[in-house]
Amino acid sequence: MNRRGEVLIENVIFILLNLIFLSILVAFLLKQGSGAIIMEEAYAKQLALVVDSARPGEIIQVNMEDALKLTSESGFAFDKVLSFNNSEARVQLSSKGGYSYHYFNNVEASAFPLIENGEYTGMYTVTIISK
Amino acid sequence: MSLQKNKKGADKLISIYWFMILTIIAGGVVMMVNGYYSSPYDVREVEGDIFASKLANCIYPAGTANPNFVSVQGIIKPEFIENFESHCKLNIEPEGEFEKAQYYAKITFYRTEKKKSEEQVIEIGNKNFLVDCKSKDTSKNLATCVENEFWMMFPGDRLKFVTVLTAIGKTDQNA
Repeated sequence: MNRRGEVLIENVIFILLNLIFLSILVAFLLKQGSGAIIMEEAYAKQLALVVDSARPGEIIQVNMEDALKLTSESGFAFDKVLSFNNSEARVQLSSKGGYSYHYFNNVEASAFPLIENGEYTGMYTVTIISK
Repeated sequence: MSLQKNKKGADKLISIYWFMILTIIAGGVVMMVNGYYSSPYDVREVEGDIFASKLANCIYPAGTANPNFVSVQGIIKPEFIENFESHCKLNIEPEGEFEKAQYYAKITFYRTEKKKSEEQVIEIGNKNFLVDCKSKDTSKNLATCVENEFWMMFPGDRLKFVTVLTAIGKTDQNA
């Protein structure tokens, strides 16, 4: 009778450890894909390409909801996420780091976040004007 | 009794091996994922395409030869070529961490699409990238080259075949 109980507990522990192990692995994979560093690079490159293909006078709305989610978790100010300086699109999602990518289009670009009812919508407005 | 003991020992051994296998798999997955995410997104092909479009739009906007670029007689104006970058609103000078320009463009005008008789060539940016474009090596550490072509109607109803070759360096950020 005792032996049966022992076997059952051993199996349960074994299965639990396997589940924990697999959960950690899945969590690691999900975290890697949504990390700030990767997102910064992807956003900065996309925005540099957007500016490259834009013409003066254009106003572009960019969906940065994933960035908003990340910054609200880390406490980093969302209005400092995107900036354009010296022909570079810069995206920063935490107090440390940030990623810049150069664009060749000789225009002046500026960005500000959209606010509705006192809250960030996750959208950024990018304005392109000629230099 | 001894058979039961052996079975218990064998079970434990299997568990140890099972966790060893899991650890090896996890290590492999971690290594592969790190390898995948640590390599940067390569956007140079798209960037080269946009660069070529920008150049084409500059000399041939909306299907009409730019009057600042070509005279009424159909001659390409040298003063436009001299200040090509400012005329086309380009900023390809090296900035920040880059010591050399990370862009190159070559616009070639031909009489026919057979590309045998080059009439005129305009080059801007880092000419060293031309070697990368001619190379058969597909390494990511070389500049990425994109070639686009189109027909252009010059004043006097003269058609010319134009190729726009663009090369983007930025290997540190893309390769």
